[in-house]
Amino acid sequence: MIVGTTHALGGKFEVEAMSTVVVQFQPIDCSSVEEVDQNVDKIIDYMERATFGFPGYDLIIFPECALQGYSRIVDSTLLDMDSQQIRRIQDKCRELMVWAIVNPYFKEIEGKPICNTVIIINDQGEIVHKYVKMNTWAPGETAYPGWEMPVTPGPKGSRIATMICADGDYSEMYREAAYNGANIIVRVAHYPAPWDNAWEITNKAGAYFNQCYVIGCNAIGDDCVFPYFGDSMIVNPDGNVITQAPKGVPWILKADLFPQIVDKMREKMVTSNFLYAFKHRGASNPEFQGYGDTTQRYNAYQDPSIDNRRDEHA
Amino acid sequence: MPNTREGLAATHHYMSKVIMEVQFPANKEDISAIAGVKVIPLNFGRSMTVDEILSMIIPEKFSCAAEFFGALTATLLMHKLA
Repeated sequence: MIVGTTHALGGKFEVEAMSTVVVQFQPIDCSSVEEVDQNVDKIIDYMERATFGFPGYDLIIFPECALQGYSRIVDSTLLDMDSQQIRRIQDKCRELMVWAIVNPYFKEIEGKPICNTVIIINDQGEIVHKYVKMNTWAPGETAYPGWEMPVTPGPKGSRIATMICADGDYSEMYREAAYNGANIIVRVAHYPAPWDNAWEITNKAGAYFNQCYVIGCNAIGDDCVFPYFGDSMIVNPDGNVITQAPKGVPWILKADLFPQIVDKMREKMVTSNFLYAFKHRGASNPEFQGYGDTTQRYNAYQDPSIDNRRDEHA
Repeated sequence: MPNTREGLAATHHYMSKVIMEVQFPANKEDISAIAGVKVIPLNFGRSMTVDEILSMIIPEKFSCAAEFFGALTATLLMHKLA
């Protein structure tokens, strides 16, 4: 169901159902490798439980820093891409024939030290996607800021982009994901109170502005610093919430999503086709013949706005 | 196809119906092959075939439906048909 378009999407088209499971839980805020292992045990337990609760599921998603916790990243808990903890999750994906999205802290990615990183593991147990958080929650989060937003083919016709927590406070991030071709945006988080309302409006707006499913997977509980409220949600590409977890309790959401609907919306929507319209303004004006005014007129995206003081100091 | 109300021709409605199966991106030939002979009501009591309308539209191809309908509206305005 899609709300908010004037002209009929129309016609017959094929969709595949991507059965999606979202796990809302409280990982241990780790200070040792043993505690990381306990979090991995819990992740694997949820993966197995979901096979009973939601047989045949395609994709399972865990909150930001589900392996190490968020507020106390200590060197001894940092992982490598081939750490035993990552391999255990890869093995479980292969065994259960499911995809998983998890978010470890790594010692380094491409030579950049300490990266808050989402990985996607496919149903063969291969790591097929790496995304380093571009908008770290400064000043508290001192990890290296990411440098690109990849989009990766996922199950059932999905093209998945990932973002992490505070990333989703920037409208540019959703637009970048959609512009790069994503039809599913997964936002994993340790999003704390009192930003409950911000969590909801940013997820909805990201979906609506970009005709994209947005899956928000938030942690719960409190660590040594913040209370995390949960409210994990799956938002339809029209900005309406499909399903939402309650506040503050462990929960598993599940919904069947249809990625091809997003593709069809971008092809066939006439009004509210923002990905097209933002670069083709006034397309129905006689002077612009359907193409619209394609001149870049957003001061926020002009080159002179780039702050190059770091280069000056280098 | 009947017109609806004076000054509110259901041009977009009927166009949507007849090009329902068009896959975008599409060029004029693609649209014509599916709906060229269909008659679409315009304002002021007029009507035209899709082919006649296409011949007035300047762009040759359309990346998505929004682009096509934008061009359609612009063209009808330019020719004082809307």
